[in-house]
Amino acid sequence: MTKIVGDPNYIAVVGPVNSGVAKAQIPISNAAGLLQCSPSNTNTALTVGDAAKALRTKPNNYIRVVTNDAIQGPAAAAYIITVLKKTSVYIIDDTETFGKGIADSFEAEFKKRGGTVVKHDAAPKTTQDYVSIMTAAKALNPQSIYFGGVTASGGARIALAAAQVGLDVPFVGPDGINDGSGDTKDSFLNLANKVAKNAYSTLAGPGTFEGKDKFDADYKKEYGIDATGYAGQGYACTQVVLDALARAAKTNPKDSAALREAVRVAGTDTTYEYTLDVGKVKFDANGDTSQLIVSIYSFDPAAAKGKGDWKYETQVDAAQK
Amino acid sequence: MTAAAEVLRAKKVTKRFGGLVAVNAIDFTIPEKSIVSLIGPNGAGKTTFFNIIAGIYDPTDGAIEFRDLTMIAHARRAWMEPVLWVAIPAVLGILTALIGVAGAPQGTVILGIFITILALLASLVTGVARGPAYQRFLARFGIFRSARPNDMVVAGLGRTFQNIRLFQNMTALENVQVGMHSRLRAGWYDALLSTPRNRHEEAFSRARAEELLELVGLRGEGANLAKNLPYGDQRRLEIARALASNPVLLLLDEPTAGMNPNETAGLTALIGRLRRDLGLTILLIEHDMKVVMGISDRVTVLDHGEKIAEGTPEEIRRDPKVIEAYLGAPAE
Amino acid sequence: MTAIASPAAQPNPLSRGIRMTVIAVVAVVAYMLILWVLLFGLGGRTVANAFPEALQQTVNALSIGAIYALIALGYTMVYGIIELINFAHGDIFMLGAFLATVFIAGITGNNDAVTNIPLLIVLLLGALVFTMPIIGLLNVGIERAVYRPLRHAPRLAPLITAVGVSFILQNVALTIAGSGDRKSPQIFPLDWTIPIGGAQVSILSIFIFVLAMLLMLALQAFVSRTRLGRAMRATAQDQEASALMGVDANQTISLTFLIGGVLAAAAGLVWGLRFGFVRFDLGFNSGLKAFTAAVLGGIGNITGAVIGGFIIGFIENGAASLGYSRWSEFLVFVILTLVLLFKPTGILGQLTGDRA
Ligand SMILES: Nc1ncnc2c1ncn2[C@@H]1O[C@H](COP(=O)(O)OP(=O)(O)OP(=O)(O)O)[C@@H](O)[C@H]1O
Ligand SMILES: [Mg+2]
Repeated sequence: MTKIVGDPNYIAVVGPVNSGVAKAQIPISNAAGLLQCSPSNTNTALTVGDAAKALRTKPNNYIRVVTNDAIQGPAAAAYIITVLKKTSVYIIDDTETFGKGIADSFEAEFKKRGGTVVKHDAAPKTTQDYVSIMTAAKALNPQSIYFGGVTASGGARIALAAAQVGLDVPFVGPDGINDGSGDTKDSFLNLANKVAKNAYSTLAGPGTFEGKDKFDADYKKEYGIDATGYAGQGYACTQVVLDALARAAKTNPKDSAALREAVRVAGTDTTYEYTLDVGKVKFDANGDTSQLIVSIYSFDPAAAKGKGDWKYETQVDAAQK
Repeated sequence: MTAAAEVLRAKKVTKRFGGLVAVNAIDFTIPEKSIVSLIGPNGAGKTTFFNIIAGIYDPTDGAIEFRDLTMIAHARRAWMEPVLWVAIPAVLGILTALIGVAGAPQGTVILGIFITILALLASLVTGVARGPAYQRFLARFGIFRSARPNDMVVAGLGRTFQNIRLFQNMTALENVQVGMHSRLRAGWYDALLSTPRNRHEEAFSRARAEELLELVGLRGEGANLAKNLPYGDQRRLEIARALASNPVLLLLDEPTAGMNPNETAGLTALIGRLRRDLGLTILLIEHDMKVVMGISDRVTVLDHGEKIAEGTPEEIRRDPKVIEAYLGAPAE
Repeated sequence: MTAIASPAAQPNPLSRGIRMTVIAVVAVVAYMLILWVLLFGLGGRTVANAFPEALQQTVNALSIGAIYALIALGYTMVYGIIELINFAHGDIFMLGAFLATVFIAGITGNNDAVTNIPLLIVLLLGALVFTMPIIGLLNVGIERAVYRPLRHAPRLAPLITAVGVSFILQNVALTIAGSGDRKSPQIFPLDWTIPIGGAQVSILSIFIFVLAMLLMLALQAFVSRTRLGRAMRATAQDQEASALMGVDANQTISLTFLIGGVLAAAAGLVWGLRFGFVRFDLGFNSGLKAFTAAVLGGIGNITGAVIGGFIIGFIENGAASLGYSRWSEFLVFVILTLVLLFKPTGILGQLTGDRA
């Protein structure tokens, strides 16, 4: 990031993918006034609260087209209770910022909606024996499991262990486990394939939008791989940057530094409504999107040539509550 | 040469520890089936000399020949050995190739190749078998492969320690069985598969160990941990353990140290029996003059690393140099 | 010549074995009962439904404990014989797990459980026969190439080298297998269970425990009743003296590494069967825990390592059972620190490496 910031030819950045990385990058890009649009950062503390303020020394430069975990976690809770009709849940997180954060917001919403949290346990990603943990979980007879974390921090291992002890209930996780089909290396579905039949995941953005089929087909043609997870959001960010650039150009900035600043101003403009592939959105002063849509996916064993893939189920729009 | 009758020859053996000359140019021989004693005041260099013989140290100068083999602890010019193996076949191979290129008849070339392969096989066999003649041949080129202490045991040397070094947490019987290690063959696969060889060897080593314990007077003590045995018995156990490898030469470093007169007498008798009944050659380091004078055929006296006298016990007893250096010491 | 009438001073090995078994059974039952009480006391279960859970968790503890114990043996034996904390041993285990995975996946081609019992037995035995020698020899090779030249160097040199070897092995696995979890085929049917006292005790757990116990008993028999085993103990106690008794120290040390590698490979196989994944950094945590187990039992002591392995298994399982899994590692390392501070010789003390 330091290198990019130092090169005046860069006027904006699409990314990063991980919230942890964003936390390290924002202070640098912010100081340089470089517009950053993330397609997939969902950590609440990147945009809201004192933690977010601490990352910034200058006016905001960071926006994201996905909504945050304060929306994503509760959406899963709403789905479990209203659609899956399960009233109790066992929560386990990976003790990390993202996992614990989303599990906490899930727990609060689940309780608010009258559900029972039988236990909120946590196991760091270095945990060895998930079978014992799931044995304890099973004894509590939960009707569902919510996992706060990502595949690499234990998602698939927990699903495997749950199946091993015969805990056969819906397994719900955030976008951290919505990381590709059964054909994708290191993905949740690849690792937990056999036991994923009851798995659900969420994405902090619309799972479907006008022209999604065409988008997926074009994507496949261009890159030779399936459009997964936040591919549509990646494209949306690119649209945001191009749109901002077009508007910035109208101000006739005199040099590249001025252009960079003009792009930042145009990009973070809270009054402007973008028309993106994922729909019409605005960004607030924190950089969060006005689109509070979280989509829910279930497992489709037949997809991806029998390797299984996430199948869009429905979406929960927190804005219309 | 009376080589055959000498179990061990030390030729001008010197050992320096930094500036300290612990052993200085000692010539020394041990005739077969004799009991030779090494005496001298504390720090005279006896144990050091012993350790050189046992293969723990290399002499700084000189050499030890044990049963006509030069034994050293650290390899010297060992890299030359494989070169020698390859050299002869390589020369033959090149010659064959040359005559082939020069247009020799096909039969000759094939014969050449055949001879080359034979030479390769021959050097391989000699290299692996390592007979004494081969080792002497290597020694002539100054090539010594290391004779680590365990190789000395295989060659026929057994020893005890000045300060007891039994395997304290093993039983007396197991201690003796460890002593037998180099004479047994069972490998890991025997152990794993519990082959007849393994079972036979276990039974044999157990019986033999019990025999040896009985010989040194430890009958019925086999199941006791070494550390639980009384001091005198530990010394006897060390001897049994040393005997277990069927040594030709037995090195005993102060075997009666710390024993009461009764135990000492018993042990002296035992040493005598070992030579008589088992035909062992024994090198003894001892401070107790009664023991030394009673059983030795020959006594060598060291002082400050130098050999100051050598002869029969009678001669030593009368030697003025010895009396001055050693017997005259007030402690005696 | 005749059989020795052993004096009363030394209990014979059989009665010692029986005593150890009784202690072990009592300890396991005690753990189960304590867990039972804790589960309804702290965990909010009812008295009745806490029992099957306690039983099941005890079985879980035994199987993870068995895995730690198998790894811990490699640490303890190597330490016993050359006083080296072989930091790379955890990674040897990791490679064992990978190799077993590759073998099974290569043969079955999928991740399905194998319900045909003879076929399952053949596959499991095949995996053992394939991985154990390779990993064992790899361990021997590492000793030969890296640790042996440093045998007479200051103690710190081989220690640091071991850390280096650990990094190398991890990076080899990382390069070949990538950084994510790799799927390990769970060919042992996970739904095979035996109902006992309301619990569904998985046969895989029993298999893991029994396999580990068999290997450990074989090791015990090897060490105490064979020529090479005696040589190993003798070398551990006094390398110089045993060399002077005709024991080849190099050979014996190689054998120790071989056995350590073989046991780690077996642990690797059962790891994959139970948890269904392997990863390049698997050896780090497992290794640290197994090392803790070895220290806890008394490093250098074979029985101690086994006991330590099970204790670590119980601690981890206890934390998981009561919902404190996030503290389990912390607990394990607190124990390591406490043992190192207050009883560096561990529970049983260093029996095999009692140097002169
Ligand atoms: N490893 C060593 N390094 C340095 N000096 C040594 C070493 N071993 C022995 N020495 C020294 O060499 C000299 C001879 O020692 P050695 O042990 O051979 O004497 P000794 O005749 O056996 O004496 P004692 O009757 O006390 O056993 C002593 O001065 C001793 O300090
Ligand atoms: Mg001495």
